[in-house]
Amino acid sequence: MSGWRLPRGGREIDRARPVSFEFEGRTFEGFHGDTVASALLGQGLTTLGRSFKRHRPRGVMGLGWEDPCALMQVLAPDPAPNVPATQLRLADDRPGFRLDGVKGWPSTQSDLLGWIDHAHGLLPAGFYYKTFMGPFFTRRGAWHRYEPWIRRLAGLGRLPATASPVAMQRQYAHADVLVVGAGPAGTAAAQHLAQQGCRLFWVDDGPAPGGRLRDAADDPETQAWMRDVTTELDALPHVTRCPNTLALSRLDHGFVLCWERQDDGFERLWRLRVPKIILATGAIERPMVFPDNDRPGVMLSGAVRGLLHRHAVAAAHRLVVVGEDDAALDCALDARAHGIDVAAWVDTRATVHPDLQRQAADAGIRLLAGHGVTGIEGGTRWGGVGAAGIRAVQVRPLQGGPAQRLDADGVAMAGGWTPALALLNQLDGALRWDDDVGRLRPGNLPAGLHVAGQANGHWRTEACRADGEAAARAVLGDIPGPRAVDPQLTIGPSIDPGPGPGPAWVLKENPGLQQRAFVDWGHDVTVADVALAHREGYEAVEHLKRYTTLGMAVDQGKTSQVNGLRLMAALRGCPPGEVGVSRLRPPLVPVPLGTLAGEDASDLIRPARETPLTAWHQAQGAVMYESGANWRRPGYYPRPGETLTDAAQREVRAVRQAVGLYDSSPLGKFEVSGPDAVPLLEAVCACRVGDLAIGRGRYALMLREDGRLFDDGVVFRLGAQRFWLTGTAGQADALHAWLEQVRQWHLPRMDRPGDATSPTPVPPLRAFVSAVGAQWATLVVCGPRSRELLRLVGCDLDLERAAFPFMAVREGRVAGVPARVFRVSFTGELSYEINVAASQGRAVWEALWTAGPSLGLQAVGSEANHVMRIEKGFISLAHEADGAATPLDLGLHWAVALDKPFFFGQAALRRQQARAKDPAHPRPEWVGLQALDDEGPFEEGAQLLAEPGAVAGQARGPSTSGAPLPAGPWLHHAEGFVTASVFSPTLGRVIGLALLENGRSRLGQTVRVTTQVAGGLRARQARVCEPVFHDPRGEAMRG
Amino acid sequence: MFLIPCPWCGTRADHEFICTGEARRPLPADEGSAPPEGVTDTWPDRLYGRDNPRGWVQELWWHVHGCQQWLQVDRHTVTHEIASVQPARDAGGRP
Repeated sequence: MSGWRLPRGGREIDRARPVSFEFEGRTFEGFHGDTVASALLGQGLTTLGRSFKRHRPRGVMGLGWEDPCALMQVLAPDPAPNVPATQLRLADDRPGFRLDGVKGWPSTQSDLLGWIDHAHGLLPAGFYYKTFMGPFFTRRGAWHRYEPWIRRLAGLGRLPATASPVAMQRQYAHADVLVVGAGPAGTAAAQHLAQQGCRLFWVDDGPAPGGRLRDAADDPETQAWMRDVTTELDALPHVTRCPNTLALSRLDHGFVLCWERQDDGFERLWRLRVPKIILATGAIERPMVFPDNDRPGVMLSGAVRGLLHRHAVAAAHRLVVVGEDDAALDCALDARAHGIDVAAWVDTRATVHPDLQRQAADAGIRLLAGHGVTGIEGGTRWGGVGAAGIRAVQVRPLQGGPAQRLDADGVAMAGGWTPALALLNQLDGALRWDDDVGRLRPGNLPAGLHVAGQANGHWRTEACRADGEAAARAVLGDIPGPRAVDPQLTIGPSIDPGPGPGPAWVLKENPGLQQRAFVDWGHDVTVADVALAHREGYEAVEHLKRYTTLGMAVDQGKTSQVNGLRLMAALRGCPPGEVGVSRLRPPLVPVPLGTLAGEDASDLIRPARETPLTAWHQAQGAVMYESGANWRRPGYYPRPGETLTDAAQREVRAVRQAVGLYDSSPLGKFEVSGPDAVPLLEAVCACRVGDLAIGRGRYALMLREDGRLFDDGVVFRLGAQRFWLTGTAGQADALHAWLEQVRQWHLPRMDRPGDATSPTPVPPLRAFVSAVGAQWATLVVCGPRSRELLRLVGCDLDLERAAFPFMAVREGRVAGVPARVFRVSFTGELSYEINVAASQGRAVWEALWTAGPSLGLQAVGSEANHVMRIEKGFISLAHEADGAATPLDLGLHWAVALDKPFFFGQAALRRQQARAKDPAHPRPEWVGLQALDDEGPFEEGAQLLAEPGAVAGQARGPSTSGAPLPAGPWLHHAEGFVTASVFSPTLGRVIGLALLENGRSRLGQTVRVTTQVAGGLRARQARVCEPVFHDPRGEAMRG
Repeated sequence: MFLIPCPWCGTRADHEFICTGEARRPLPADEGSAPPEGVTDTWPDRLYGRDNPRGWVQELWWHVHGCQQWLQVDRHTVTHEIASVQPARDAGGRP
């Protein structure tokens, strides 16, 4: 119990508005304006979490996003894992926070897994991979037994099981300049830009302007100025000011993501386009590296001050300030002024500025220059169990000498400042360690980006103000950066004087101390781990990062990176500037995926497409499927008590014996017109197009340049220069893109078909492609009584075979509605594909439906269609046309005009033909399968194996009679796979289709078909046959 | 998140476009067979090989949610700078 709430003060809290919340089952009190971290500290709790690897108790280190360890599992109101306690602001208009720690069992306060810390000598960097991924554990699969257990020990919070109740919003915005930060520099920059009439977007992570001044004592003049600026700018229409908004990511072409989080739970992701940016993002204080520096109660000096000034929370009764930076004195003076005892100011620098020495002496603060901390006493004997307070701090002169023991219950660390320049480094700006000034600096600034204020190396308020205004002028004047730091503005007391000796001195201490001196709190990386990485050759920053995981925790190394690189420099004996800086990646802080997704969730990711008949199908009780390109289409229409198979077989029988009605509206449909429509279609379709008579059509295969089939459909000639092309629903968008690409890109650079080598430009192609898929409802009437149904409903076309043959198109009226009727068939039966305007689709469908009962009409879904196309041996995209198959593999030679001048894929097919039957390169060929047992359909995708001994050298596989064999090397000898298999109600037996190596020459032979059984795979026998089972001559569909 | 200056529609965000990679000319039609023994067969490389340069690349982008025109975009693969955007039918591409 170290911290307590001061009786008065606290700029950001409202004592009239108490807010309670629950942490690990206990109720705590805070005030409106507190964070969970400040409220818990104010009630005396110091241990807020357990560390990632060693389960050491951890408290609050910093007050911002940089805090690595006080992570919360938010249970209510908006469940989320791993949220820093410093980022959960208590607000009385959004009460009801319920929180758990993310680590520790049963709780963070008494963690029974704390023993792990005592084994820390056994858990160095790389331990996990060297041990569990090593030969002992990976042999015999032992790893898979231990992994779940280890994973439970590791890791952090748990994902909530339900979607966030908070509505995530996204908003787009455009501006001339983005100013990030509302400290003195950011405020000055925003004021100047706004006064110049600039369209300004101004974000700051805090609830009110102030930046680092929020952590400092009152500065009435500056605070009044900031208030005036915000009032002035809020009234300007060209300024958007967003408090509580964090700039997360700077991406290409001026794209910036900003995350707004208001206290009442409102969240918004700003998607900003802005050509110019001023980063006035300030700096993050660094911790000191010394043994036990991770104990709860050890925090950054700015955090100690911020708790006092923002929240009126004292972090300790008696404080030791440890530093190598002048901010240490500010902290000591502030603590003293608020009634906290200061045991000593311990500084690793051999000496400090005389002015500062005098100030310390005047305030009665004992300065121990040239000293370092060698240990902290506190906690319980078993450090893991029970809360761990601080009792005393051991310090020793770095040059050698007797140690002293300072009674204290809190430690503040002032290790210098790291400019917060992640947004610069994320994209095209470099960071480098400047050995001259001992500071991280921008290495280069991209055009239009400036850094101002403390992020640019300034410290004093007036210097930051001046620098912010200078940055604004530079942005407006298009003056390239970086701007030099004005030395006049950096001189004076309480400046940032450059680095102290850094953490190198710990390397001289004994290994036990090095293992307790933390560099990265988030992943428990110690000085010993960095030294190990160096010994094992991981010297480069990016190697150091990956080997030790330094900088890879939730906080992404905000406090640890510079200490890590300075340690590595000391180990390598080079200046830190030579070690380099590892790349910082967006986003700046962990963001819930839901925030990034916004409204692009659940049904809105890919909105479903509905045909004009979707509502009718649903009213009939159809089971709806996604059928490519997110179209909803009926799968089958079950009657009471029917299974899928029952319904599909009934629908098949209706089509084979009477008549069926199928909604094919999702079909891809294109009108291609113009004088050059023929050359365009000749290039895209493998069949001949130019010799089609008006009103006739052909089966069209669309190939890629490598000869693989990517879509199939039909092409019909509607007029001399007008064509109708269809493709499958799922490929319609891809086919549209391809038609336009061929029209606009490929053909204009061929001065004769297929020849793209001529440099002479050719005149633009006079052809147009219109995607008309959604303009037409496509109703398919199929079955031997189709003609009767059309007559019954009223059709002014001559439907006789001679007048309207197979593969012809006629325009007329069906049920009084203008229609374009095609005689094509996907079922193998007499079939009319009736296209009417989408708005008329429902009326025509219902007219057919009303007229149909006397003929035995039934509505048919895609399941029945699937059965019928297998019976008929028609290919289906994504089954047989699997992206690798060519038309020749599929036996579709008849649909390919290899001798026409040119089509895409022609050259590839010619080569395939030239090397046909090369035994070294057997191609899979399309065949049918007959089951030789009565075990039901084959599994789609099941492997085909030759009979044992049929192929020389084939390894042993499962037999058709023996026990199941586990999957083994014999599977590599699979010779093909089942593409589709069903029970055929027409034939009364199981049929299947398959791609089989050299399958055409194996008709009549038997193959083994694998099937999944408990314990492995078993084989079934099948006979290879022609892939057409029903009406091989096509008499029914031509009838 | 690129901004692509479409010559027809003005500057638009890249989610209006589809990119199909390097702007390659179609393969010649008369490549009907493998070359004789001892001659390197360049066909597979021309079919599937891509330069994937570090630097400037000519790409084809389709403005599908805009004018539906194919565009040749000259883009730097490191800086993502876009030097020019031309209608595909007027652009040079690469052989």
